[in-house]
Amino acid sequence: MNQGTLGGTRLRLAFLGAIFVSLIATLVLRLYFLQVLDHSSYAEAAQRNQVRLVATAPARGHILDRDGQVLVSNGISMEVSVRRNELSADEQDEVLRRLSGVLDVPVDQLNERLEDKRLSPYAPVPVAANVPEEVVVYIREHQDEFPAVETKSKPIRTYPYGELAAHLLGYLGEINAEQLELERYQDYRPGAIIGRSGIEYAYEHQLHGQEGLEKLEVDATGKVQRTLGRRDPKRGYDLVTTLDIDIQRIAEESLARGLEEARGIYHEETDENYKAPAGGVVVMDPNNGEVVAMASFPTYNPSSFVGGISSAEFNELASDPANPLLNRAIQAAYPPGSIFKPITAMAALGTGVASANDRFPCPGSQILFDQRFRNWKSSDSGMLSLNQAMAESCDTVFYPWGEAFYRTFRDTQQEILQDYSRRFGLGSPTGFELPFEKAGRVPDEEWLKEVHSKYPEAFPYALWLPGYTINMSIGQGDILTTPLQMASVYSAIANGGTLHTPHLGSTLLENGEPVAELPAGESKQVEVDPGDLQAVRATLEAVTVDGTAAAAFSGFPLQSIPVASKTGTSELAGSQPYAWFAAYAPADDPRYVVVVMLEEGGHGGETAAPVARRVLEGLFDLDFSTITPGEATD
Amino acid sequence: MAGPATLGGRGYPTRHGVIGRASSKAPIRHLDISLLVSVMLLTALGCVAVRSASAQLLIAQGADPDRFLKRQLVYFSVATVAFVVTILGDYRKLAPYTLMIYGAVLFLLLIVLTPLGDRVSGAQRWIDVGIFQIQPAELMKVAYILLMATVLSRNDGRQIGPISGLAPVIQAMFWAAIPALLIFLQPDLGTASVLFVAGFAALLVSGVQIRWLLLLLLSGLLAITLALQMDVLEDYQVNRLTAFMDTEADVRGTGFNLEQSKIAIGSGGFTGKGWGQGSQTNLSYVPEQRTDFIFTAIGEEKGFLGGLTVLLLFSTILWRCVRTAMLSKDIFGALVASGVAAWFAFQLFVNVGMTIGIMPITGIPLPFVSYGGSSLIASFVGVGLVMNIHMRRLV
Repeated sequence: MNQGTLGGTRLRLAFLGAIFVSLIATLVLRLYFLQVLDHSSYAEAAQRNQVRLVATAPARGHILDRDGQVLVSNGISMEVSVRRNELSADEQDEVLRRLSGVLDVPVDQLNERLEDKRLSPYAPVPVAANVPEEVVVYIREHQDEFPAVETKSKPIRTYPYGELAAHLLGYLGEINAEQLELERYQDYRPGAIIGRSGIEYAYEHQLHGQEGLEKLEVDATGKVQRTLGRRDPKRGYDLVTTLDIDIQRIAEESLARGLEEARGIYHEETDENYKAPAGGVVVMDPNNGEVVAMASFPTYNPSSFVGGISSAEFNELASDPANPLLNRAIQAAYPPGSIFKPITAMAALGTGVASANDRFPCPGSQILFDQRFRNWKSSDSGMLSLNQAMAESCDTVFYPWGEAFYRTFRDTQQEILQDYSRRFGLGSPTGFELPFEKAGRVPDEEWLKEVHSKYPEAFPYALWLPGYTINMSIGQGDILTTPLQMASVYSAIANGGTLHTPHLGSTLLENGEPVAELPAGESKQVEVDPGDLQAVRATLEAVTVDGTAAAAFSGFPLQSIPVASKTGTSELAGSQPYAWFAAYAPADDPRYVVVVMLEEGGHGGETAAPVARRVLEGLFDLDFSTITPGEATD
Repeated sequence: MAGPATLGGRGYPTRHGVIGRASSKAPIRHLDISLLVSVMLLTALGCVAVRSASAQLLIAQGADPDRFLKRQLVYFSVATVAFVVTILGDYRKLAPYTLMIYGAVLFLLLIVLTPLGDRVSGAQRWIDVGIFQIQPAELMKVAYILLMATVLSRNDGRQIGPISGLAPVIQAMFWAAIPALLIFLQPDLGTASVLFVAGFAALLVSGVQIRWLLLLLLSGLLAITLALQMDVLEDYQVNRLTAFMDTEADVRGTGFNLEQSKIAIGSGGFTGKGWGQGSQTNLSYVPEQRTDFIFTAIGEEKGFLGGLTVLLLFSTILWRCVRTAMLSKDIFGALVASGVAAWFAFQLFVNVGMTIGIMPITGIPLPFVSYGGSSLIASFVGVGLVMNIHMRRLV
């Protein structure tokens, strides 16, 4: 190689060398970034890659009544599922046709389940639950005829008492996408089964237990290589409730019979029998707020939800005009009618509008602010004591008090009746554990202004008129209460003025041993004068002895078990009257409050009081009387 | 003609020559020890990595965990024999036969595409000769580099003076295009591109004017751009091209492989998880881990230090190759040495770059390290040629 070309070649080789150096430098730098600077994120990713967590659902805790009777327990159901994404349309038809044969379920129904949009397209779709063992064996032995069909056992809820307390116990369902976002379910995984309503919802976290986890090492194809660790599932706590299943049964039976009885009574104004389609009963211990029984009619079978309810079944329940899923004791609010009168009386006594020793005229009607207000009966009853006025439920005694409250409002903007209503907890939920409790309504000027601006056609005036307060004095107009709220009001009256939070949860058990008492909720003193409360209690005893409920309680041993009560009949435009009855007993040492409400069920003394009487007979171990209509009083 | 001292070689003064034995200029006294040691270390490291990357899967299959290690050791021995044979005679004597060698390998490449060729996972790259399979594309790298050196040094090893004009450029591309097309059809885009890169390096060193080299570079870029744009226009063509490029590597999607490989290397950290301890490697998250993705196993199990070791050994090899090209007495030797260097450098960059996410996935092995006989033997023959040139730089 000569000197002249040597320089050029060396330069070009040096250039080639420089390229090599830069290529290797690039690799070194990139490696440094990956392995030294970014190491931790890749190390985590490698960890995630190889480790899979497999969850095992824990056994859910049982629900017991106050005596330890098991209301909800667990069982096993054999379930048949189809992995729908593995089947072509033709194969699906063929497989469903065969399944329909062995399961004895119409093809259409299987198809409907399979097409259910609410279920994940990747998870197997359960098409039948509670499948008999021989069918499961047949499918397993003929697996080639049932491609993409699998059978497995699944824990389910069982209900030893059938439909009893369905509204209280609630039902379960698979957690959905929106729920997974909620803080309430932050530890839950997709596919978890959760309480959707009732006690199952309210005590989800106590009943659910802790899922078992298995930490597995898997390869790139997902094949398990070995188990890295495991945590066994922890069973949920058993929940002792304040329910008494025997009283619950009596309350539900009595409510159903009372409604049936009401449907046999003719209602003159509508020229047909009472429709009495629905109703609610609450039985509560006034001394601590424990709910002993709570009935709602119509009801449903909680077993329908076991193993996943189909769209059609659920829609049928949800769109039923009778609304069987609605718990009428807490999820529906109605005008309370005359069972509201004790609050009016206490307001009148407390503000000096009336005195316990006064006598009050009870005309058939009276004119207040140029408007005629009628008593529920047209005859004049003369001058009445406070006890007689309550016993007779004389509206024309209460109207003038309403008029006085209105005048105070007009002059001072003080809303006395609304204030007393709120003192007894009306207008807001009681704080009961079960979900979707209604707040009811205490109407006032502010509320009226609000609804007027929202619905100017239904509420043409924003002005609070005298008639509103006067009507409210007898529990009519726009005031709405739930049966549970009224049970709470009567508990406070019965126990001397303490408003307890109604509740169902009592104790948590682990292996049959109590591990925790559930908080009873707060209690507060109602701001009323004890003397006034005493005076009102006396009036309520008179109602049962010789007032509007006397006929319904004829033959009841009032001497040994005195009952304080109030009847109510509330009017709603366009409907038949709603019957109410509230009672507590024994009146001198109250142990139970019973509230009954029958939608379009007639008069309180006539139809609601007999239901309450039968429940009281059950509570005090008396012989049951047959439910017969009382007098058509208020 | 300048004396060896001018070239900076390690010439030994004759007075220290050993009487009765080889003279100071005897080729055997001028073995490049650092090149030899680097290649041997790299190959040994490769053997350890191949075992580590394949043992778990073999155990799971109930096979001998050392199965691939043993085979690689056999290839190593064969490659060593090939290396010794390569350094025996004077490389300059090869010049008249380079076209013949080229023709013979080209013939093998044609046979691969006939039904005589072996088809493995969608690609037809091998010829089964009974005891083992050979991959003619690997041999073509050596044959092409030799032919290029011959062509660009005007068929005469002793010819002096730079080459110029467009003619050699066209010649170089022509000789590369024929085998490249056959290799494309296998399909094996990676190996085909090695030929063009080696040809380009030889042209650069041969003294072809810079403007022609730039023109060549530009037309290469233009061709790639055009190919890509055409594929952007037609969706199914993009898919075909990617499938075409990645038949070997693409098991569960290119992105998946790339990501898993990066996770493996990144999780290795500074010192690595230790041989046999890489979860990504053991649990088969990385595809083709004993062949194309062998660097991933080293990165995961021996960390940054392991990767750096591989790169340092390669740096030494490349340095010794370039140095040999500089020391070479003739342009033929310089061209062969730089062609071999470009071949190794390109495969190193594309292969390692692929595992760390800076190069697309192509089925190119890492020379000396990846499992596979043809690649190892071809690489050893390439190193043998460089060694031959080094040994005879004084004679």
